[in-house]
Amino acid sequence: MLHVEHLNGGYIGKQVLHDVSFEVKKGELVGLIGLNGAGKSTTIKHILGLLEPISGSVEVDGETLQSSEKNYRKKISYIPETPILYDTLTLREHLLLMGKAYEIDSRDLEMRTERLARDMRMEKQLDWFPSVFSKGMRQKAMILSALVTKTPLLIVDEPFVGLDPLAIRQLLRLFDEYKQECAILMSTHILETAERHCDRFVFLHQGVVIATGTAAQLREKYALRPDATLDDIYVEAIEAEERAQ
Amino acid sequence: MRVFNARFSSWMEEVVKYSRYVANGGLLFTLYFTLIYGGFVYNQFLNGLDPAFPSEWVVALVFLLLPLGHRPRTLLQEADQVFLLPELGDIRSYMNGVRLFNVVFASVRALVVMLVVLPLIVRTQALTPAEVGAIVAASVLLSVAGRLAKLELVSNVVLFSALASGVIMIFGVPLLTPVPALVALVLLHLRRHDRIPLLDWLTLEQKSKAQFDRVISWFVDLPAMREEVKERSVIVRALERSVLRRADAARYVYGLRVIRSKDSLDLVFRLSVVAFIVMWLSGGWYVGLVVPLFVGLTALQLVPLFKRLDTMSIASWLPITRLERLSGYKWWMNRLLIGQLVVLTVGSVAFGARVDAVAGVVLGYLVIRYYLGRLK
Repeated sequence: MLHVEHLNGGYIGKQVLHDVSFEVKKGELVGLIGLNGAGKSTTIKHILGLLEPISGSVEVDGETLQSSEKNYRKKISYIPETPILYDTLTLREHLLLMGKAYEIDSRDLEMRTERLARDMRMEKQLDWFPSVFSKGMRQKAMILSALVTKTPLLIVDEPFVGLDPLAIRQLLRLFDEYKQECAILMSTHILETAERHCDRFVFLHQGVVIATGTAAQLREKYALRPDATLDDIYVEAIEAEERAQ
Repeated sequence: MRVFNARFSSWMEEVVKYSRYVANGGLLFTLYFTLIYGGFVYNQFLNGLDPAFPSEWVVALVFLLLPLGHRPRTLLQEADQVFLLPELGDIRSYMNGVRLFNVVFASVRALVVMLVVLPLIVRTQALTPAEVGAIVAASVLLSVAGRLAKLELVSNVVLFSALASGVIMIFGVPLLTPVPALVALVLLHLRRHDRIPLLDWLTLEQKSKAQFDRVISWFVDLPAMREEVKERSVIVRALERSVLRRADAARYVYGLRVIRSKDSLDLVFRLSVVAFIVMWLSGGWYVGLVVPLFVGLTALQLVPLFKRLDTMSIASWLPITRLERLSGYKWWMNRLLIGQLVVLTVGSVAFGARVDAVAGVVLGYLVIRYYLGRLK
């Protein structure tokens, strides 16, 4: 579903990503794991088309940004780390906007809206403006806005920040359901949750992919015992990389 | 006082920085032109004024309005919630600095208003210099009291004083008009805060800063601005069936913004009201030319909003191209500005415009096309 090939990129005058390649298949939840400043957000910005790559390519479900910007963007929904909402639109209107932007049938949209709002306990807040939302509610509003689209690829940046435990559990359930038909790329620092729910991992360090694979494959790669946690694997991967340098 | 002085210096730096942009911007000339035209029109109005004009009622109304609409600055920052807390016990000097700062602001505002109102009073009322001084003093005191009331979180007291001063003016005792205003100040002094009401002052600062940013954004792009929103469910419901339901994503989002934000529909309304007042004051003198002037002023303020909205929004990653966003925004701006042009033209004809009304429409239309053409 998502193919990132030899991506070099970053900001003007500062290259952050070096030859980044990985893929996310349909039915997979892939964890993008890295320290602060490893290049996770930069990678996501490149996939979203918010940054221009120096070289390399990003393809989503056969579309690239260069072939058709609109078709490419229709394949992706995104939950940012910091919620960005329109002050002038209620939550219901945000979902309507999503429906219009992604050309979703109005009956489908209505059904999805009702269901997602119920699942995320936001039914009462559907007609509220974001200015009265708590931090968690804003994050839930972003989640609803992304999930209502049912795009082939869902990109999630630190989704658990500000969410209560019930909401986290419900979100993970929704992810499990969502990935049956789509692919999910999730960047997170909460490795314990990532370990339990991600199918594969992409370890990013200083803008370079240092390892990819399932938890079992990564344990084998770094010769760790079978009960090693993702924390252990991650620390070992970083240390191995730094030793190699 | 050390904290206040530091904040005051930063405020000054900001004002100086933005003044440069303002001084170099094209809007300044439009503002000059508006002021000169306004002054000329006002002079025409004063020359033809009937001595029986009830200027005491105008003064009474001004007394009532002066305490309203103040947005005091407190120069607080969000980080103060954490870092200023330990100093709150001995921060009275900061509070006094803030109060003094706002007293100066309120006084200047009252004096500017009086500069306009005084010629009207002295031409229609037989007043002694002491009485004129008392009227000026009352307006300054009421303006100051209105601003300080916001800082001390006291409501209504000042409005009662303003009403009392107004009634005294109407009853023909202008010498006594400062008395109720003084009473309000004494009451405010008695009810002043000893410690900073941190959250309230922070909210005041944010609102005031937002207003400052809004004015500056006419000249410079300030993308990270918060918007004030009104629900306006009646208008939204009315447009939902006819326009919003059929609109594409870009038109939908900008439509709701135009309706609900205080920067769009409100602005058109406010400027149109001012335009009508100018038309009335001009007494029919080239009244048609007021139309392009105010349509231009509205367009000048509405057009730069697109960049601000476009920079920080979900739209950057949604399947809505920039071209579609531009076209959606232009669609609304075109209708808003043409609507204003039509309403103002009808108004100008009612106020006596004939050939100049045609010139006004043509010029107004060209102004709209010019500013919308700058949206790229």
